[in-house]
Amino acid sequence: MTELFQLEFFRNALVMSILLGALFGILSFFVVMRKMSFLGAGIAHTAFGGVALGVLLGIDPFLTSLAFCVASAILIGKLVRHGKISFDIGIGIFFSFSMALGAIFLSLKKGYSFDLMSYLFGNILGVTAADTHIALAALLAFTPFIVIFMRRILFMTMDEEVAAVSGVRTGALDTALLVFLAGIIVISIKIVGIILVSALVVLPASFGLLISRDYRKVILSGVLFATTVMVGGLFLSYILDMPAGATMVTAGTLLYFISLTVAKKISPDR
Amino acid sequence: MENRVISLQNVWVRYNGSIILEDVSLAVRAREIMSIVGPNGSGKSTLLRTIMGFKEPFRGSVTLLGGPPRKAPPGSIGYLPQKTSDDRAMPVSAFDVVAMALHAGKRIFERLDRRDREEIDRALEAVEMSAHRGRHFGSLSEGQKQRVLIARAIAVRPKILLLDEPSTGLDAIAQDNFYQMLLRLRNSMGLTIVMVSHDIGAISNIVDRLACLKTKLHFHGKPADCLSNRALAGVFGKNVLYVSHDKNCDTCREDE
Repeated sequence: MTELFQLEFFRNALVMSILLGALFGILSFFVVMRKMSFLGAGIAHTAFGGVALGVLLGIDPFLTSLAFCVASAILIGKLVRHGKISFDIGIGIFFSFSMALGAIFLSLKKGYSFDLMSYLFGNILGVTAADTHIALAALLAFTPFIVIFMRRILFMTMDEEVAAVSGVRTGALDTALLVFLAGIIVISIKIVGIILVSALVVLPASFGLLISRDYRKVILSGVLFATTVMVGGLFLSYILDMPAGATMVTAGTLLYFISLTVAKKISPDR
Repeated sequence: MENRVISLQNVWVRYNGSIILEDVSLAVRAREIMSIVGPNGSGKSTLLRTIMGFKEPFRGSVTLLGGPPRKAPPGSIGYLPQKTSDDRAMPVSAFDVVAMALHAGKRIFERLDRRDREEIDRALEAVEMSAHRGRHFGSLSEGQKQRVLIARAIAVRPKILLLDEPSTGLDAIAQDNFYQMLLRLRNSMGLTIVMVSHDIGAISNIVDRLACLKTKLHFHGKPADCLSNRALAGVFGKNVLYVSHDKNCDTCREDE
């Protein structure tokens, strides 16, 4: 197995898995607590329109999908915040609209062979050193943000109006969280794909909540879970000759359900 | 009126095209306990949200601590909403919940210090929840949760406490204990308390003033005056049989 480390793409994928494991481990807690899991799935699918736009215009699809996802996340957040539409309606509309736009953009690019499966289900061969640098930058920005604002985010998650009356800038924090959510999802698309990324948004915190009732331990458990699943899934995919993203998500889902069963046996009231 | 901390002048509020508050004028003095009573959908919670600045009146004006509601200094208002989000899954302790309020008032890089922790302990002690400070918030009873949320509201030593249906989910004895605790807090901290309720019988013994609301303000004054005139019938739409229990009446407690 040591020959694996001679391969540059595998080294990149390994570093990327560790960084994304930490990012999703932290992010997942706030997404699940704020009941934004469906938003994660919606934003991931919105990325398809952005990727297709990048292909059409000959721009790096990472940049266009990032712009698409961040804009969608902020717009959905604003519309919901101002009571114009509900979360699920907003996500449902943007989700399908962006997928439809993506299909139109790709049809306009005549004679272009587009590797759709890589974007939908991920492809570790596409992970470059530059991608790992972007993921590292995201981790270096996101971790201090969470350390500083964690309790304020918890406060507004529990009681948004009480937090606002108490001096928390709920609108700004919510927008920042949505931007991070969109950014982290776009960064991870190369390795796990648009379809599978939503599992990584939900599973780490769901696992953490089985382990502890202390938010610090839930986040830490989520980070360990996500990193284990991503790194373990990467090696497992090599051993079993399976797609990496799909193996990671399958391993994570199985691990979660095994943990849930064990947790129910230990503490039936859970 | 002197020492008024909340003042509404001819306030009109609309939501989705319907008038929710119509020409409401009232004032609350410092250290006063006032309850807003009325049937479901009468605009009680909207009135509370208007006082805090979450709802903008399209006519009239609101003054909170001498200025516009949104300009009230952070920490000057303690607020207990009618229902929090699904808090059972939130992995936080009672101490963490109270600490949220102190974090909210801090500067970005400022952490809680020893004095802040003492404030949290003092607030939990004031609501008799010290013994539960490390317990998971979601595992507490409804009454205990309400106490912890009150502790969060008072931990920053606010001037005004706004409570929206604070006794929801509490049994009669727990309600009585809860209201007695509010009286103690008012007396010890000099709080002004505005409380939304539809349970007139439970609150009439502790409040200084009642505001009977059904879109319009039908009455604003002392509880006894409200109960002796036609205000309740006007608000609730029919003659209301009102039973007040003396807090020292053991028989009443047994009946409950």
